[in-house]
Amino acid sequence: MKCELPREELIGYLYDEVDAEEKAGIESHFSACPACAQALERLGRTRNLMRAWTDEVPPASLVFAPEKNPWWKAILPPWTSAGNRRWLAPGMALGLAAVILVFAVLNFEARYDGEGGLHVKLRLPAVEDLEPSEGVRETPVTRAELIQVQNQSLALIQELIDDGYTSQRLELGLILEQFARDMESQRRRDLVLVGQGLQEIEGSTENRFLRTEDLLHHLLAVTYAQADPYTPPTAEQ
Amino acid sequence: MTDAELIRRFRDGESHAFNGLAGRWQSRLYNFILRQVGDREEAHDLSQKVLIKAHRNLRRLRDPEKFSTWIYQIAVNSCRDELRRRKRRPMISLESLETGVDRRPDEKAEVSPTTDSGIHKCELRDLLNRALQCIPHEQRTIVVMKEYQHLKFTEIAGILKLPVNTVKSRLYYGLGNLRKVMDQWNITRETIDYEM
Repeated sequence: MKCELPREELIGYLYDEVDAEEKAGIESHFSACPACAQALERLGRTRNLMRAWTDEVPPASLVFAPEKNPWWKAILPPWTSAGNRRWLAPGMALGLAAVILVFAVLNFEARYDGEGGLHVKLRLPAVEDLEPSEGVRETPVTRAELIQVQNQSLALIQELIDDGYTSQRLELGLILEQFARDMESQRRRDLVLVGQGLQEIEGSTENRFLRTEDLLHHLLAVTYAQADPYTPPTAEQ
Repeated sequence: MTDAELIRRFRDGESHAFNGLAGRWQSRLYNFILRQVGDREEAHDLSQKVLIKAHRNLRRLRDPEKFSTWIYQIAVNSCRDELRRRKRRPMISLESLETGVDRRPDEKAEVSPTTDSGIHKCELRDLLNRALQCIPHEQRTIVVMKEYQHLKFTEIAGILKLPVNTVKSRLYYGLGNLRKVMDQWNITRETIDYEM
């Protein structure tokens, strides 16, 4: 006779994840079906054996340390998340290739004339452009010429570096000058404040002297009046 | 404090809140991964990777209450990738070069300890580990989740995105296959008690 107890129910019973009604039904089935009871017993024994492998303590070196984000990740827009980032490099490469292709087709030219002027030219190629030009040199470039071009390039780079250095120095000089000017004006303001403070101290000290003098005069007058009530006090007293 | 609260704090800018979360999960993850891949060193590395992935993507987790499901999914995927990589590039251990037997876990053992003396030579946990590595990965994942991580069937189904009955069915076959391996290797409660 084929057993009607599904294995899912058997497993549910094994882990005690069945409701009371189901549980009662399964238990009554076990009493009538020795094969299922035996299967349950086998599963239980397997579980029992597996339990002998208790949890292990992870090695002490397993300590979470957050990864350090490279600086370029901070400037990436939010849409360049990990999921999209795998498309970023091929996408950018494709975009760049497309731009280069468009510029090549439109015959893009950019020229710096050495006097601060940048000339950009964009035009569709004329038919004559496609034919070989008459001005093209037929003799190969010599090593000396290459060296000369290289030297010129190096000289230009050096010039650019020098220019950059000079402008940096000028900028630094201006900053220092402004700083010194600020310091000087601050010093003057402070001196004015100190002067005002000293004047105030002087004024208050003088007032205190005058008040003391008046008090002394008054005391002397009272003293003389008590000593000789018929002698009026003189001006010196 | 619950996991969800720690996640909210992390999202609010308390970056050290993740350390609490990692401390709480690292042992559970390590043991889960160890029983999946069968190798302690790899389990260590994969656990680190899982934690780093979780840290990197935690802000994108919509519902902090589902962190457990989410981190288990990361761990399951990492183990699956590792096992695939291992299949593509099988490594031979130094031990196998010396003995001529590849004893790497996850591959069916050519030589099994069929005698009592053989069993006693192996450490118990390594024996059980090897037995576990002999069953298919899909079954092993569920056996480990249920038997060692003590997850509910509905939780396992949620993590693996499978119907509950499929989970139960795979567990049934997984335990059955383990039983066969253990019978074949003569691993019984008595031998284990002797070992212990």
